[in-house]
Amino acid sequence: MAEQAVKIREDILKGADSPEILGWLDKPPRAEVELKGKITRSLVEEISRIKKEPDWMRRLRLRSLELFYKLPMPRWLTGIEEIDLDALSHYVKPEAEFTQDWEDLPDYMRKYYEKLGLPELEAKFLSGLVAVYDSETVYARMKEYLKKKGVIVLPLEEAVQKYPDLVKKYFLKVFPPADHKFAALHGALWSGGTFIYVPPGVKVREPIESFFLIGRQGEGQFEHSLIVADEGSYVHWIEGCSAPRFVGYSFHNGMVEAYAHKNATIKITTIQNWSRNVINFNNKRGIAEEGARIDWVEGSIGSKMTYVYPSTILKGPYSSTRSVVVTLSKGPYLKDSGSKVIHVAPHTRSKIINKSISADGGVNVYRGIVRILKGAKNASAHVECDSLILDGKSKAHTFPHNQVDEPTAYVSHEAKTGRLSEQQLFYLTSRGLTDDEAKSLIVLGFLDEIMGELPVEYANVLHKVIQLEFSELGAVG
Amino acid sequence: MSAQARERYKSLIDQLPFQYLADTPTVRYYTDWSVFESRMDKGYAYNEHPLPPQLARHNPNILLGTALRLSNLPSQVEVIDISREESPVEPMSLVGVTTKMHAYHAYMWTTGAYIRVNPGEEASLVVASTGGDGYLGHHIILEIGRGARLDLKLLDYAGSSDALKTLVVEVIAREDSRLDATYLTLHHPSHAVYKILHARLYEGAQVEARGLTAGGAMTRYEETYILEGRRSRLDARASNVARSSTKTDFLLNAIHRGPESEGFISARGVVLTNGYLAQRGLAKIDAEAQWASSEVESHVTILGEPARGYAIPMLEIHSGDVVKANHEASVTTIQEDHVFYMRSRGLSREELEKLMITGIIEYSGAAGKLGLEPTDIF
Amino acid sequence: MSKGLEVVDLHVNVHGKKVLKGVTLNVGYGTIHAIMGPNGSGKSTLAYTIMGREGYEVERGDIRLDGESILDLPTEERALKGLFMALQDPPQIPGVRLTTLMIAALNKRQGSSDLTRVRDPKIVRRMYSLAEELGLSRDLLQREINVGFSGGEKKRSELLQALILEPRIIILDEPDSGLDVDGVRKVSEYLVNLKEQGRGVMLITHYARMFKYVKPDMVTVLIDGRVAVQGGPELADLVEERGYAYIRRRYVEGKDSTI
Repeated sequence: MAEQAVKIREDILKGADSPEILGWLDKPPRAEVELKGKITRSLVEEISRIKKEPDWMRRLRLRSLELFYKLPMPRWLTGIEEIDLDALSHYVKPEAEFTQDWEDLPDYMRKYYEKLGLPELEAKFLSGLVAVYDSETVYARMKEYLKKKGVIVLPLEEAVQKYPDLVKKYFLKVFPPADHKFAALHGALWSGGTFIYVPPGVKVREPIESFFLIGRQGEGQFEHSLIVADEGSYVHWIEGCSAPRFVGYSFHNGMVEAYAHKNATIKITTIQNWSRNVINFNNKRGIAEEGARIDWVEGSIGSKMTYVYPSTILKGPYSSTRSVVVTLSKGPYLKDSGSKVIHVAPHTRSKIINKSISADGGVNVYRGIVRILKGAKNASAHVECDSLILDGKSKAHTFPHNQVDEPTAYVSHEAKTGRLSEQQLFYLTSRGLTDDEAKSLIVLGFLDEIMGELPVEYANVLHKVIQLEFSELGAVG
Repeated sequence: MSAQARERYKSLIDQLPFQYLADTPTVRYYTDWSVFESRMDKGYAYNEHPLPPQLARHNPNILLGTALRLSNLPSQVEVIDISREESPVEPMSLVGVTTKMHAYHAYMWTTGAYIRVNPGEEASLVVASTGGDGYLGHHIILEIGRGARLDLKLLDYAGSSDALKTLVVEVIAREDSRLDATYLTLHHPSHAVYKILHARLYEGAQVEARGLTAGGAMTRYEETYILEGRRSRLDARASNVARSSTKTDFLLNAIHRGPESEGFISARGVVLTNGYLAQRGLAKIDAEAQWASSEVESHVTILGEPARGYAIPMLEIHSGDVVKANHEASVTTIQEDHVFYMRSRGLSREELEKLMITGIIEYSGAAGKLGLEPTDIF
Repeated sequence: MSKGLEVVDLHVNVHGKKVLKGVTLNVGYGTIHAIMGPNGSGKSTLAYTIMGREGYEVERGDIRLDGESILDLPTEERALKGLFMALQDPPQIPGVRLTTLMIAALNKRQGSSDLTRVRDPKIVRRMYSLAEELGLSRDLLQREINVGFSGGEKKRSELLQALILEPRIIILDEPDSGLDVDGVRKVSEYLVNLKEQGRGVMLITHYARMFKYVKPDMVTVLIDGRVAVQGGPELADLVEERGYAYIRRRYVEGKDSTI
């Protein structure tokens, strides 16, 4: 990635609270449609009508709405009571038509994406790019050669129109809305997002990125991404999230469904740096058929509260998953994360690595589940959770559940919670580093193996962001 | 306990839930509450199960059955029959009454003892609690005075009967006291038992606990230590055996409130054919417990089919000022390379299984202290 | 009838792959027979096959102890007949203490049905004194098998078991790897003792460094699952000086006959 693009991304990531990056902040761009207020049947019908949806999708939304009314508030969630769902804008359609050409976007929007370096990134590193602004996908394109091979990269709405049978087969099937209240809410209000389909045997060499942006306060974003890899194919999807800082909060309740057919591989990388007033709720689940593999890499840095649990159902024999989650809570923020794996079939394997850093009163919670069902013969799972706490005020909790119903399975779990010790600090400062440099060095060392999981362009950015995050530590600690 | 207090608990039985939150979305409850629910209106037992010889030979000083019986009580120890007289410490005041089973026990319990080891004294005690063909509820409050030492053997037995038993033991370990505890929990596969051992350790108090549990139709056993005082110390080890057609939900918790407190909690369990074992451990370090250290281990070996073995080692760290807070867990079965290794020493797979079961039973040290052989619990 | 361990024209498949392609050798009582060879030459496979590990399928040939075939015997029967293998990297077995293993293995050899009862307190004393000689702490004996053992402790524990169980034939798979110089010397001393007691020692090693302290009576070099060459101790020196590539060229490919 060119220096300039790295720099801008870094600015965005480090300080979603630098309004100058978004020149238009004082005069927020007008929305074409904005639906606010109580979540009612007519609101849902209206979204469906604006999107000119087929009847099956409309009915699916309404069914989800019924479930949303019926299901109880998940009680283990903390802080969620702050969300006044009825005060949110549930659907915001920006004044921009969907396009495959950057030039067609409104000026402010194009300039913004240019500052982020997205067009350049797309040209150099990506197989495809999807940009979601508020509730709608404004841009999506992929490389020509992939089109010829039958790869589909589209806004989900368009896929609903063009490939209804394909979408119907997976949509809300991997993650049923009945799972919990917020999944149901998502099913009712979903808007914007990505549909990726990779035909049998096709390997998409470069990653496809979707970039999500919340453009205003008091907004709910409910984007939905559906990634389907057919037999023996490969795809790497990157999800980048950002929101500038506003007064008042926004609510993100997105969903990712991934389906890896026989011997396919899906890799999903998320770098989340919503601004400090976004409540970020994620629903992420994948299903792996025989010999397939689903990998999750999640770097969660921003937001006020984040709830994210990348989950994989290992449905076919010899399928596998690896889930790497790094969370950073610096300041009065919460990250509630945890990978979940359900081993259904024999010879399935999973590895979960979770690393958290808590500083300045930050809280990290890990809730993981490894469930090995009867019949998943010789399944194996390994879990590692490491928490680094940088000061007395910060917290880290680890709640791993290892549930084995299959006697031939093997599950191991290790966790360590460590405090940055005076001795480590002294040693490094005695070598000429300042306290802050020493701390950021230790944090980076702690994250070292995770960095290796990221594409190098993204790892570089993350590296810099963390150094910046910790450069103020001295003043606080 | 006053009659009014008991009546208040009665009304809570219906109001309170078995638990407030589901344990996980996959396995909703680690305890099969339906077993308790179906036995809650069995009515009181009129008999009590005699202790089997391997336990009776320890000659309990204090025996709780349908009534409280004392024999050869050491002079350093005072006992009050709290089913007849007021208890110096209100029953359930340490545990609290927040769930249906708490309220049920608080309302229903039949036999109780307040036991005190006087300050500065040293004593050895054997306390036994037995079951009957109906509901029996036992409540024990044990106060170890400042600087006192107690060597305690606590034998919890329930014989063959499709009955329900509740047993709550509340322990107060005063400043600089020391408790060496050996617990045996032996429930017949037909019996259901709800059991709590809740101890509070004041400054400088030390507890070394060694437990062996072989549960029944449903044994829910929660062993919690509140490390209240500065430099209080806990070393608790447990061996759990989920025999055929039994279910055990075992929780071993260390709650650090005192600065520089140290906790080590460790459980090993084995699950045999048609057995179920959830082995949970929680190390919680509260914000005020600065520079505490805590370790949790939970290892489960599955040696049967079908069988279910769950290991849940939890850490809840509310202060970054910790010395260490680690946990490790595993759920495994015998691996092929283990089998080869043992066979290359002349031992067959069956013999390896036998040795593993023995090893896990003996892990905590309770079996050794009670002179029990593996065959004594099968 | 010949005495000791005989391996006759042994062909072995592991997971469907041919690993040994005709190996013949003897380990006589009171001798040390070194098995050398580069990585992947089949040394460990030979050891596992002799012990009868599952998955090591004998396609052809025979393994005999004192003239009797042991091919049909399960691993534990072979062990009870007097074979012992010290593994290169023995597994951790949580739940079983090292002392429990040794006592059970001894009880088994004495035909006792109770595995864990100590029948003779002398044996415990012997265990402790041998462990001390080997530099193993008492505490380590009480730990679970190989759990938390260092590399060196694992090697010493394997040797301790060999000394306690008094086998007739001892197979050691790379007993020197992971040991420092003092460790290698100590292990070597015990091997010489074992030989002098009249036991047969099969010493599998990649390097010749042990031979500074223990002279093998026989050396067999395996290459690609076959015996490349057999000879006396001078063969070990040749390997040390010229390396396996030379041995391969000279004895397997027959290209170079000069020394």
